[in-house]
Amino acid sequence: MNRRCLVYLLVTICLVFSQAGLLSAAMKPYRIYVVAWRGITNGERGFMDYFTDRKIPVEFIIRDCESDKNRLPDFVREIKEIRPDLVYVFGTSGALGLFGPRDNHPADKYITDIPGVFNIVSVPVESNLVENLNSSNRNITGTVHIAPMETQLNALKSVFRLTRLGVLYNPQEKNSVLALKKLEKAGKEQGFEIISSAFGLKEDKNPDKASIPEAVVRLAAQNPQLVYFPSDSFLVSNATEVVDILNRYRIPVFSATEDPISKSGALMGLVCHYYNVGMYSAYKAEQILVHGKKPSEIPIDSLNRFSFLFNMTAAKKLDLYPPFNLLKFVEIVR
Amino acid sequence: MKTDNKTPVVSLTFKINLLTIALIGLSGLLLSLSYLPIFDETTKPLIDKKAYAIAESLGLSFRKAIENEIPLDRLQNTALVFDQVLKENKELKSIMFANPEGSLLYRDSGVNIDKGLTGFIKEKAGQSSRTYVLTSADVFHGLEMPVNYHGIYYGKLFIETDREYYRQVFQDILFDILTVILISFIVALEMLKLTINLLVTRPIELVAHALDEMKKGHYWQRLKSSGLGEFVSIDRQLNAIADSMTSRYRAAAARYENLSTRFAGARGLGDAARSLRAIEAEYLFEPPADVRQYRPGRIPNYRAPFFIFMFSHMLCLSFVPIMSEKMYRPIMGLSKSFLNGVPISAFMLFWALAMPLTGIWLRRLGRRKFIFLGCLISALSLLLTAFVSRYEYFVVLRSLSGVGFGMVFLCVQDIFLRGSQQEERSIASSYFWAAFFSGTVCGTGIGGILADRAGFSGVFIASALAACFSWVLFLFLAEEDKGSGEPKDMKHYDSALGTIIKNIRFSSVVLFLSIPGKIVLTGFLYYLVPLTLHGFGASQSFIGRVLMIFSLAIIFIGPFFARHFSKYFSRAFLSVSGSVLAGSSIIIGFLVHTVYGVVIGVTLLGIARSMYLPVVDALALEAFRDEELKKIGTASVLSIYGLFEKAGNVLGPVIVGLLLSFADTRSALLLIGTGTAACGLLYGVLHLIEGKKAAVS
Repeated sequence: MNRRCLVYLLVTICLVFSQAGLLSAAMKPYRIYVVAWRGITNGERGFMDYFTDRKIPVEFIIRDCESDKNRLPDFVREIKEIRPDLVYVFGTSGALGLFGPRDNHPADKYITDIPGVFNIVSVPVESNLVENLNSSNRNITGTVHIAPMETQLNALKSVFRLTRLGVLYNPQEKNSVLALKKLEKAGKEQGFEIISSAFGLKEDKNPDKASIPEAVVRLAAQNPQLVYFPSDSFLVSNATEVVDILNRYRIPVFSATEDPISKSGALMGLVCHYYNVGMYSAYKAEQILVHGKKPSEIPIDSLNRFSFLFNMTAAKKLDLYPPFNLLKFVEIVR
Repeated sequence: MKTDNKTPVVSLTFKINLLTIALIGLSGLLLSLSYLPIFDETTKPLIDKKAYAIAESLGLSFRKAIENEIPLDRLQNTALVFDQVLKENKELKSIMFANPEGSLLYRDSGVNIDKGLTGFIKEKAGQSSRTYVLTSADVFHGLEMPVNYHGIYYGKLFIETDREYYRQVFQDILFDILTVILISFIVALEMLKLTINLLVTRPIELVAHALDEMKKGHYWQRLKSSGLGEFVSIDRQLNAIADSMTSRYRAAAARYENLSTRFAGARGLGDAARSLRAIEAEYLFEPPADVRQYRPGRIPNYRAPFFIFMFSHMLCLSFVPIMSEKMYRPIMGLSKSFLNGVPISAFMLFWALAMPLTGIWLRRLGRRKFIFLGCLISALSLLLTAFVSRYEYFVVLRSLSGVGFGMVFLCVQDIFLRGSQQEERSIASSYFWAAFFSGTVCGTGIGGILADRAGFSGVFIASALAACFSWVLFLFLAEEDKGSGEPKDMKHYDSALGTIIKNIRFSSVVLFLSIPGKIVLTGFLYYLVPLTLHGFGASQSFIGRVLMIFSLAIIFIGPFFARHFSKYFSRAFLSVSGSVLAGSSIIIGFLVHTVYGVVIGVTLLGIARSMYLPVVDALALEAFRDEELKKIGTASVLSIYGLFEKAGNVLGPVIVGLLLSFADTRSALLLIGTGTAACGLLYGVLHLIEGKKAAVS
């Protein structure tokens, strides 16, 4: 009798602990390694809020490149050590630094065995990050945040009769260089001129902040009608300084991304809100973590809806207001 | 019905037709007039409602500008927006915005600002208000909408409505109503003709024939009761008389036989025998050996179903190229203009192919089977076309429609021309072409109106239903025709083909008159005219009416030329004049490149075609000497001639499509017109040369 009771007690205890183990495993939060490029942006906020809103338990391990790609190898090492459930990264440079180009990503140098989600990458195929947007054929997926160049130009031309467009860019930023090439091609086809000015580089090949005034003034001196800001992290980080110089020359700015308009005084742009894009990236991360999908099964795409932002403060300074036909649709920011 | 004196049947038919026309016309007019006040009452408020909705929408933009502190006098593109709104809403005349000081800040580019209007705007804009006002003044008739934001008045929108718009709308509707009334006449007449033929004409003709026969002493015929109305008892009475006469004769003959057997050689028998022989000489109680069945009124029965069949296919005539343009997508580097014409050419090609193939098997299988098959293919292909959205499928379905059309066309033509008695043939031919053209007139007219209201899909569904209805009519009216004999032997045609083509006069008729005429018909009229008018902004109803004008010109003017001009002018002269006039009518479209230029061109084209249409195939036959014609056969010549004509049908849209690939519409019109006139003149020259050669030899 006593032996029987002891056996029953042991079995019960085992069952209880095993259930506790299962429960605790179920309650254990997902670990997501977040690599920001230039601090926490609305992209990261949207990404993290998604999980909070849906009460999905997640532990975020946050790192910041501070716009320096030389930090990325350290993050790679750390990721390999702590082995999170998923890696999130902001921007093309960050994504290439963590996951490597699609045609050359040795496992010892890059993250290949942990699923990854990249956010705010404008041209993943042209950047050599993935082969095609329907499937990366790799252990990564992500979101694009930029409206197609043709759509942006149509929005721009609804306000200006385009003849001479200036472009500021970072020669080290793939997004920037690709955007410039697309604009040059469009300019030849549609009959407008492109004038460009590149930022200078430091010895470590990173863009030089000190070169900003000279680059902007050099561009302004060529009398562009307006200036286009591509999706360029360096440019976005220093947008306020750039816009201030251009405002002195009364040259408006059309930005491909949100922050220069909402935070730095650029006049207008056709953009996807970073926050919404971040949430969309989080949705893809949820597919991987909770629903067990492989990243290669999740297509890389963008949100279908864009916002035409118009900065009213900049509009007043430049005396350039949204056209009447767009008033119903523009999103006014100050 | 041929009678020596004007019989009550003929005048009765005429009276019934006249009564029908009067009733339809009167009821149509009365209905339209009764709806006129309702039209006025309902239309005006609708236009005001629209003006209000537009004012609200524009007001939102102004309020957003105010909300975001955009100075109201610094808004770009405002006039462009006003212009766009006016372009899309024809019932509005002008849009203006004035500030509270009365200064006109924005207006559409078309508004004419005079002193009166300026004063009016200054006065009204200076008056703030909380809600909209409908105004009717000499200088302005429309809506005033204040732009307020948080209780502060910022200015006023003035949206003027067009008082003339009602009249314009009514005018458009009036044309549609008149078109529908005209088509109702034609449809009612066709149905009336069918009904009268079935219920009145045919039974009376049979009775009259029976009485004629009895008058001649022929008592062997019996009337088969049609089972309708009074004619049942008339038929029975006549049959009873014939039975009675026949039975009396037979009784007398039997009695004579009996008596002559029993009392051979008796004196009275000789007289009896003579009397019997006299009766047998004068009267006929048994059917003769060469009996010919009298079958009146068969042919008119096919007119109504063929009319409905033509109607079903012609409904879409006014918009096939427009529909094709909407479905366009690049295929194999072919130009859009070329591809737009392919569906028309496909229909013509498969119509042309279906006819000889049907002809080969017609005798063997019988016309009824082919008619039903043709109606089925037509109905199915038309129905499926209603749901098609891809260009390739559209072309395939048009081809199938052509097959169905060709099968029924040939069978009915065969019935009319070969199924009628010799003396009826010219009437039968006129019935055939009357049904062809009235179906075309009605189809094109109604198709355009229906397309404006129900869309292209609606028209194709209606076409399919009409094709089914024609099938039902054929089912009840077509005679049993099991078919007999073997398939037609084509070897005869093969051997005739070479002889025919080598005849220079025949070839010149085909190359310079017939084929260009068909190219103009399908390439210019069916392809270029709808697209050009559509490009000018004409509605589908209008395009349908324009195509109707062409057919009406042929129906009403053609017989005039046939009757009068053919007495004084030779066929060659009429053909050449017709070709030159046809070419000139197209050139008018080039010179006056507006809607009216095209309408005038189409009307003249109809007149031109009615000049040479009746004579061209006769010219083709005249190209051969009598002995040649006897050897080859008239049917062979006409069949091969018809084949070349149909090649012209197919080539028309192709040639015009290719022209449009390299030139604009105006240049294409000039080239086609010049080409057509030149071909006519060239034929004239060749005809003269051949005439002189013949005179010399």
